[in-house]
Amino acid sequence: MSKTRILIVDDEKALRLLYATDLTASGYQVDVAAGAAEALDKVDNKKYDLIILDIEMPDMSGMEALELLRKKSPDTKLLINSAYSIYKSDFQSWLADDYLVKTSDLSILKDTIERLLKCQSTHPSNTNKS
Amino acid sequence: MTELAFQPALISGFTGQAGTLDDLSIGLFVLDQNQCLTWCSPVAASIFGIDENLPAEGIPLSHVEGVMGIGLSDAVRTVAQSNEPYVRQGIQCTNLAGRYLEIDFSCRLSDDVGNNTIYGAIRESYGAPDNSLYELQDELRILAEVASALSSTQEIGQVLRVILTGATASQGLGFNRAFLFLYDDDQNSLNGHLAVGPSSPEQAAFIWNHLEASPMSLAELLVDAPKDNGSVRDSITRLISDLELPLENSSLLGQSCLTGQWTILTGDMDLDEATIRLTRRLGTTNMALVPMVSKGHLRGLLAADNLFTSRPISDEQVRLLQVLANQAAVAMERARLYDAMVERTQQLEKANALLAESQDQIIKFEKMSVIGELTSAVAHELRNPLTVVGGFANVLLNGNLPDDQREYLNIIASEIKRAESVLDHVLDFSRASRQENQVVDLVRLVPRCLELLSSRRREGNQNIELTNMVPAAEIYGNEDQLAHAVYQMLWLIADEIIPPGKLKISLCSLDGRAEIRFEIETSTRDRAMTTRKLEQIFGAETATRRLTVMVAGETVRYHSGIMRLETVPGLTPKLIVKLPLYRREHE
Repeated sequence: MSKTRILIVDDEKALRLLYATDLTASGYQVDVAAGAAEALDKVDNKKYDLIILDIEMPDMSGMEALELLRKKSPDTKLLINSAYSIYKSDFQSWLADDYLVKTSDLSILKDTIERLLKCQSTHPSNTNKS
Repeated sequence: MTELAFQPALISGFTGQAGTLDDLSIGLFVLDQNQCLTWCSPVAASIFGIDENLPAEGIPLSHVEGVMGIGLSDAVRTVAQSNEPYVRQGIQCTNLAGRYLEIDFSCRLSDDVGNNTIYGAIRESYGAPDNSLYELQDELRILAEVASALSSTQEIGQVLRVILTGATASQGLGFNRAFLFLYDDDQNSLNGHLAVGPSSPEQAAFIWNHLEASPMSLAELLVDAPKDNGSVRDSITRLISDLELPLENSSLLGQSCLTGQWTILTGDMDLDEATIRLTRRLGTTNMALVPMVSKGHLRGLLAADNLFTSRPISDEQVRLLQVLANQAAVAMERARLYDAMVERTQQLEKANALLAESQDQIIKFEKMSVIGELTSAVAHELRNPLTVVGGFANVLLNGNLPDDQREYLNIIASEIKRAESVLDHVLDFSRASRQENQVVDLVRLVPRCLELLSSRRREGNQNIELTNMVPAAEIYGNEDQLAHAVYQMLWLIADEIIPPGKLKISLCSLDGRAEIRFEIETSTRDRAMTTRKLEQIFGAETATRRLTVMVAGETVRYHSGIMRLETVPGLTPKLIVKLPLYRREHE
């Protein structure tokens, strides 16, 4: 059975390493991108089951990238993982399947990934989905 | 005085009448060749200003004329040299006695009696000496004293009493009674306000005799009048205090007020209904009605009568009363403007105080907002590094590690978690700081915080009770910040102090402040322990060590409130928060 492919998009190198290390150890196939532009390139060449997307990035805001990623890859789950909680109230964030505030407790991230991959999203935009 | 024997023909030559010299209304005099008086009649002496009890003989004309300054000496010299009579009329001068006159003067040379004897005639231009100048002086004095009394007060009641006293004092205009009606703009009517004068003939006699026994000048009366005979004045005021006279253009009253012209009512006039009501109330149809007008606006009406003496009211009296009335109107306007100015000044002072208060609040708010912004930026910047450090500690913990390393990594992970919790708290507060101040009802806020607490505690709101809530307790402030502070206090007490015991929350308002009381009811055995825990968390010395308590305390202080512990031995320990109630007059 092919492994679930996850793309981690974050401008912080240490965080990319952290998530890649932990998620790989958890059995996922993990790619990383340092910014939104790199992420869009990768999505053009490979299909991902889940993209973990930061918001505050220098080249392009994650919110902008969200829209483009959604158009490019409508079946891919999109999970916003940001240090800022304020974007939760941004209407555009509803394009994502869920929203997490970064925490050192990686079990929260992993539980959310598991849930999304089982097609259960708790984000307001998907409350009516099964 | 030496009298010469004038021939009757001479007398009749002057006057065309028979009679004695003293009967003449024209003054006669005789001058010798040296222009000295050899004789003058009493009338002439009076006009010249010479004391008629002293001999006029020998008084040089130049001495008289030197004061009068009208060139009599030159005229007499011309007459003596040319034998032409001299006549001049309407000469204005001041005589030896200091009296101002306007005289007609004539003289001629006598051929009958002796050389260069000049006969002269002198009379005042208006015939017999009249008192118009004295009357004018008197009127001016009255007006001056009334004006002086008016200028010494801003109080409208005093102003009106001065006017009415000036109208009724014998040293003033001398009316028996004076009544003042004020104009009501909204109702277009005149309403009885104040009156001065006796209310019966007996009282009139009593007052006037009393005043005659202790005479006072008008100036003294104007100052002292309000202090004496108060009962009499009160009863006379009661005569008109309930009288309301609608002003119709067709009525005499209405016309007088509309045109600003005074009127003298007499018994034979055909009166309208409104005017009849007035005359009936005052008990007389003979009165003067004088409108009080200032800057084209009707202020009221002065009515004056001589009910007890029945003295006829002259135009001159009413003309003077009109001057008083106008002075009253101006004084009323001035008093009204003064009152308006005082009120406006008070309003401005109040507004200024509110502005200063608002300015302080705005500065505070701005500071808090900036702090909020900075705090938010810092907190977000910290979150990534904390996530990295804590995350790697957790990743390492997944592997096989010696016990001591596992222990160290556990410590790292738990401390990172604690730091993240502080970050969450700080970010919540900074988010709250950016909200604008508004009216917050604590009666709704406290239960809301309790509900939130209930949703986050496994045991819900067990052991927590809301009691004694007032209907409303509004304060002005940042709702999110206040909710945050109250929630933190509830959380700390619920999490660390109870059980044992029970938390009772009450809300009351006292002395302009809302008071939230957190009372921890415990058994006597547990009271000391509960008190100690409360002091450890909220005590003044320890409160600064806990970020959550510090932030809650700062929030309360920011809202001009106080937070304090009440731990009296033997009594239930309490945490009390007091906040100033919102005053609706701010709006």
